[in-house]
Amino acid sequence: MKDGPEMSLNNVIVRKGSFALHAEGRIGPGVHLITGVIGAGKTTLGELIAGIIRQERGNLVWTGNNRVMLMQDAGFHISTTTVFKEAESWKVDPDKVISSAGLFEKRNSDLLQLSRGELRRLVLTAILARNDDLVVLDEPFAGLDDKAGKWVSRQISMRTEKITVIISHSITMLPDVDRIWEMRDGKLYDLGIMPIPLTKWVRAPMLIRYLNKAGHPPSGLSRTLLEEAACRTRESD
Amino acid sequence: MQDPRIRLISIISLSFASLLSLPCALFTLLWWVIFGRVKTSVRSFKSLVILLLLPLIMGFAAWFTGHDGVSYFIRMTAVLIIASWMYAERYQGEFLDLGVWFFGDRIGFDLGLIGELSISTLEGLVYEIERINIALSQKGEKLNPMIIPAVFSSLLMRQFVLSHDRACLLATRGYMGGGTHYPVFHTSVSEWIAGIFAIFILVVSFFSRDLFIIFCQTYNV
Repeated sequence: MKDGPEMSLNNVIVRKGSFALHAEGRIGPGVHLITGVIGAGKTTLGELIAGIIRQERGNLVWTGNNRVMLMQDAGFHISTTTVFKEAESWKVDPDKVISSAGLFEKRNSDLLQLSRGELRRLVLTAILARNDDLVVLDEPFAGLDDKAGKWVSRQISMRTEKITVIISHSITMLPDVDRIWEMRDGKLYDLGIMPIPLTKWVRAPMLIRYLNKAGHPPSGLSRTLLEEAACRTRESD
Repeated sequence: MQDPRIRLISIISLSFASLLSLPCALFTLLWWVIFGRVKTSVRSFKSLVILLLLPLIMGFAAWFTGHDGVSYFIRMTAVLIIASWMYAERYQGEFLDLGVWFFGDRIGFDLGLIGELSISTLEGLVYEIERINIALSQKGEKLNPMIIPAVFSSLLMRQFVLSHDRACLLATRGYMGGGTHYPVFHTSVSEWIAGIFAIFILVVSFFSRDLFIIFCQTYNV
């Protein structure tokens, strides 16, 4: 495991009403993907990792500093009225963030005039610009077009020294993922370091299952690697 | 208590009884201890403190101006606790069940639908405010007067969008007013007993009336 911030989850249990989450594992620097069906407890786990909620039992050790989580609805993050003020409120260079988010022409616009995708882009860019030790991104690609999705993936890929946890159903926009975790019925399973998990991923997305079945498993989850695997399938046809 | 009809009749009876008579307010609290689920009636200790804060302040003010503040505090505590219990016992679709059972498929259905939509909106708002607080804490901010306009205008806009979506959904499903709904209730013997006791407390309160409600005049305002 690379040097840097690290989180250890030892027999951690979180309860939310009748739902109980069990987690065990070590999360080190790199990009982690948490998958699982809706209601499996992915967001609850993200909240635990980001320090939003606390465990009821077990031990969670965090060796880094700041942690932040992008919520599924980026609208919750709004605390100002304009694009510029919102970028500023994250205590980062607002012009740089606004330009990176592709919203320079709208820098003085009211936030309510932004589309959902634009707002998500703005908040996501501001969060990544803070360069916190741990960033949890809950469905970061939802509402983003292809171009914006690629840009976000590039930004995440650059966070090699820090921890990035992606909770996502979409696998066509992902950056190079280092490790895959799966939530099943409230329990966290470590599927391992890439590319090993792709062949033993029981509930893998259809594309991965198809590539595995065709005998051309991808060597990673980034778009380029998925395209390469798909091309090999075509060649063998 | 699963049967919302008995719960509704009980809460109306007990609330009136508590306002009409101090001994009946105490009986109401006793009723709640026996028949209500005490542990789950209030969401948390913090909620209980918030719940009792207003009657405590008003009761203290009444006592300070020479009135029976203790009596006021006990009565209002009984009313609020019983209301909180009723809310905690509520299940999804209850208003629709009650509306249709009491007033039929036309007006009853509409009233029930309004109740359901209102309560789900309130619950949604509570959830959203919790999320906003979390999001703000990540920026190192707290909900304060400076950011309230921005936060709440965003909240309001989301509610408008939600209302519009709901209206479209109802229209798509052909809603014109009224509808068909068959409520099913499960009533246990203990629920019947609880309901009969609640009505009994109300009847007793008519004979031991010592109504005390705070008006502006109470404080010589």
